[in-house]
Parts: sequence; C-alpha cells; structure tokens
Amino acid sequence: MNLLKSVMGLIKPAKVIFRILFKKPMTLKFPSESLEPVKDYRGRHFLNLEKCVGCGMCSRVCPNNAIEMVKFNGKTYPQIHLGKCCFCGLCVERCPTKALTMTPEAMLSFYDKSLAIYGPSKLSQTAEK
Amino acid sequence: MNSEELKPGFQGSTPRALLENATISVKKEELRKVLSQLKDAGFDHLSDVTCVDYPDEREFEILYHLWSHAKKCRKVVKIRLPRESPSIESVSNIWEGAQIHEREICELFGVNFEEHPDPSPLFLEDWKEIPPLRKDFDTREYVKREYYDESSSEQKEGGCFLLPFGPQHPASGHFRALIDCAGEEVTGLMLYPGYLHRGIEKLMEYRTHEQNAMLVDRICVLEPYSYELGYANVAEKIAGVEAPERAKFIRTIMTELGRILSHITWIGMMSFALGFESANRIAWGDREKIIRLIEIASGGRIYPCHFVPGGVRRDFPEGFEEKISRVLNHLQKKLVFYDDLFFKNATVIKRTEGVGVLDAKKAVELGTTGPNLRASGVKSDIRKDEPYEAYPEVDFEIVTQTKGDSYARVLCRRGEIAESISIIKQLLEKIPKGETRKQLPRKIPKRDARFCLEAARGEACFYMVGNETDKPYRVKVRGPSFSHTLMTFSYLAKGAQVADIPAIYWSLDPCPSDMDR
Repeated sequence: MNLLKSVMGLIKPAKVIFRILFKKPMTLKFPSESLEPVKDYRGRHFLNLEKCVGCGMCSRVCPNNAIEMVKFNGKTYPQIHLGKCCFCGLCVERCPTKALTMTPEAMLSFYDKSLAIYGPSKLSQTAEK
Repeated sequence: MNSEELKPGFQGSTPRALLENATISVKKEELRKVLSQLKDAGFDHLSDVTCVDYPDEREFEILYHLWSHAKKCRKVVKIRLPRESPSIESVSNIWEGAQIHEREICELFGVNFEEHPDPSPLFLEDWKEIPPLRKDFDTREYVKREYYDESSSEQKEGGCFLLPFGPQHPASGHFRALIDCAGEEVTGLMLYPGYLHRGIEKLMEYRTHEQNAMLVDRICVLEPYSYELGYANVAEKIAGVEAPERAKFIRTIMTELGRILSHITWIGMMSFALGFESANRIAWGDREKIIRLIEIASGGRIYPCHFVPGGVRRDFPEGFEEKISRVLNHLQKKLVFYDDLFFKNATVIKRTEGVGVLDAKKAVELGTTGPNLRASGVKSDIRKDEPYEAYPEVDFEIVTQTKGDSYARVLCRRGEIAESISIIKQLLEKIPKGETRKQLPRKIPKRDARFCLEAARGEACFYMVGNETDKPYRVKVRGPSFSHTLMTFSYLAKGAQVADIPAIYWSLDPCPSDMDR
C-alpha cells in the first residue's frame, strides 16, 4: 500500500508536467512582444511646461532627492534624475497645478548615467510610439 | 509605577502589579528577576528587544516586548541605562532567542550585554565609527566621507571542514553561512548576515511619514504590503487617527493578496532548493498573475507604495473586484494542481518528512512565529489574537500542523493559501463604500506606539517614538526572518545532514531583506 502511494506520488507530478508541454507558454518573447502596461502605471514622468509654476514642491517631497530645480527658458522647472528616482509618485501627488504626471513608459535603461537625468525639455516630450 | 513598589512581592509568587500593568519600568539589578517571573507567569514569547537613544537625557532605554501565547496579551518591560557606560545583564539564559536581538543592539548601539554567549558583530564589518544607530552618528556625513571605502573580509577558522552556504542569490538569498561539518553531519554554523543591511531604521529618522511609507516597501521585497500596513498602522496609532473603513478593507484585501504572493513565491523557492525546477517555473508564472493585480491597483509592480498613514493612495479601479475573483478562482483550481505537482509529490515528502523537527517549546523559546510556529502545533496567529484592520469581520481558521518538521511547514503554508483565498472572498462581499484617505497631523506627538501584525513569514512589528517633529525620533522594525534565520535555522541545522540544509532553510521561508533591514 505504502509502495503504491509512493509510486503514485512519482507518477502524478510527471503526468501534470507532461500535460503542461501542450499548453500555451506562460512567458512572452520579450523584445518583440511585451506585456501591455496598465492604465495609471507609475512610469517615466511627463512635465507640462505651460502648467508648471516652478514652486519646487516636487523637489521638496522627493524621498530620494532625485529632483532638482533648474533654469530653463527663463523659468524654474524640475529636472529628474531617473537613476535616483524610486517611482513612488509623491511628486505627482503633491503637484499643485497637476503639471507633473506619470506615463506608462517603463523601458528606461541607458548606456550612460548622465542620460538618466531628464531635464525640462526631455520631460516635456511624450513617449515615442 | 516604579521598582520600589515591586519589591515586597518579589519573594514567592509573581506580584500582581507585574501582571496588571501593560508597561512596567524596572531597575537594572532587578531585570532578570522580573523577566524570569514574567516568563513563569506565562509570557513565554520574547517578541523583540528595542533600544532607543536619548542623548539629551544621557540615557538609553531598552524595551523588552513580551507576548503570552496562552493569555494572548502583551507586556513591555522598560529599563533605562546611563549613556556613558551602558551595560546590562543578558537575558539569553531566560529566552534563548533573546541573544540575537541583544547582539544587534550591542552592535548598533554599543550597549554591553554581560554574560552574552556571542557578542561578536553581526552586520557591520570593520566598523571603526561610533555605533551607527546612536543619535550622534550622522549617516549623511558618513556616506559623504566613506562612500568608496574598501571593505575587507576576514574568515574565521573552523573545525573539520568548512562548507560555504550562500550568498549567491537563488540558493540562500543574500545571506551567507559557513557550515562546519564532520563528514555529512553539520557540527557548527557561522552566520554572516548583513548583505542587505541598509539601515532602514536610521533612514526613517530622516524622512517624514509620507516619505517613509515609500521606504518601508523595501524591507521585504516578496511581500511589501505587510510592512506598508505595519507602518501605516503604527503612524495612525501614534497620531490617534483611525483610517476610514473602506481603506481598512482595501488594505486587508491587498495584504492577503501579498500573503498569497509570498507563499506562491515560496513554493517556487522551496522546489528550487529541492532541485525540482519545473515547479519553480510554474509557481513563478502564477506569481505574475498576482503581481499584475497589484500593478493595476497601485501602479507599481514589486513596490506598490500603496498604503500611507491615514488610508490608501488609490481606491480600487473600476471592475477590479471581478479581476481579483477571477485570479482567486484560478488559484483555487491551481491549488489542486500544486497538490499533485508539489505537495503530494513523493520526492518532496521523502526530502522533507522528519527533517528539521522543531518541537513547540523550543520554537517558542527561539522566538519562532508565524507558519513555522503553527507547524509545531502552537495555535498562534495575530490576525485572530489581536484582530486589526478588517480581520474582525472575517471568519477563518488558524492552520496548524503537529509534527513540526519541514513537511509540516510545507503543508501549513499550503493551508494558508487556501485560507487567504477565502478571507479575500469574504472581504470582497462586505467591502463598504466611502472615503479612502484621511490626513494625519504633520507633527508626530511625543509618545511611543507599537503595532504587531501577522506577515506571511510571522510576526512583524513596528515600534515608533515621536518627538513633536514631522519625522519619527526612532523606528524599530521587527522582521520575522531575523529570528527564523539566525536562531531557528542555526538550531535546526546543527546535527542535520548537509544535504538537508536547503530543505530546512527554505522550509522556514527566510527573507534576508527583512532579516537585515
């Protein structure tokens, strides 16, 4: 009886794994296809230059000190170091004019650290599609 | 109450005053006496030992947080020490599990514990500064000065043969141990934690509540929700604010999803440790389904940053309840599949049955909590004993096993997945409508608060002291894996076979990131 139980305990796992061979794979072939980002995903920031009043609330609330206020076109705007950013979205929550928002853009890898610093002009561009 | 009032009752039975007050202050000389009396009176679980530095008063405060598994109540014993030469008797002869907490305090605060069995450093290597969690130590200044300092590594000499365990990630997590073995038998174990020690407790002292809520996620990668919940609750407790009812339900549902997430990840890790990689891949595939739910609800995949003191940042999006139900139904079906694949797999049973047996008394002694304790037959679950959030509204069973071996711990977690599914289903039916967030006052009042919750791995606690500023004066986090990895694992490993080490280690479900914090 015990022997039968152990034999069944060996056959059953093999059986279920064999069945999986004929199922759709759980993974995606990444670079060519990827998971669609959800709505309201906390990805790369987008800055509306017209709405921004340069108050600096975002830079004050940032837990990682990733936001610096810089001069651009004669006004102050935030500049975000995406390498330091933890994508918590506190800056967006705090923004009084809703000038700073987050886009679902999550594929953010760079060959150079300096490319991760997004100034006002880069932040105000929409994602390339 | 002070210690003079305690003295008359000391001879003979436990004085009533000791039992009645939730918090008692004692003098240095009486500490061991009081604690052993409390242990005899039923406070058998030493949940945590905390140290708080008060440089203005030139004192350290040490707190012993006790819990009684039989009476289901808590007790705090406070003791004050002079800051110049802090020295106190070790209580590791009363609770064996105390020694790891004392060792941490010894290292991070420089408090000397007399007669401590092993006061060697735990996290820091070649530390030449003042102990880092003291208030006069400035992290920012130190990081500026020593950022690229070369770290040196030294190896201790062992007995017969030293077998390194870890720190390569898939085998052990970021944790290293040197196993001293004679032939196939493990004779000793040297532990080297600290690979993930980020000093989160110190970092929290520099941040406001809002910013800290984003930081606590990082305590445990595999189930961030429990720690977010703990921080949110302790901050609400200290401010005297209660979260809205709907927020409580949302938080409970998401925390239970986090529990399932953690247990499913554990199925993967456990089968990986046993050399069964197919189950690992399949389990991590199902993990993705829950991560997707978290992504929809919070906007973040691994670090949701969802709960804040006062409520939640985002309400459930439209149609989210149905999405949860769909995933839960899928998981319920999948559990039967996992039974065939993993839980009733003859190889798994052969590898885990009778391995790493932990009896109930020793488990309590070592400070084991959560599923690992319940697998030894102790019916203890903070969700039931001290119901928090929306848990009073739900009906569920505490899953226990009796044998206390690795297989009992495996089965315990399987039962908990099923219970969590039923908890979420009940909550989804009862979820009320209304607001989801309240604002907390900016300043943290000058008092302390402690909140304990049942994380997937066991008892997680937050202790917070306020100081009339917008940043906490001190936060202490108790991660369940701290006791599990450093005390329970080393106890179970001694005398075991080398081949059983992965089975024992992963049956405890340790998470090095909540161990080191």
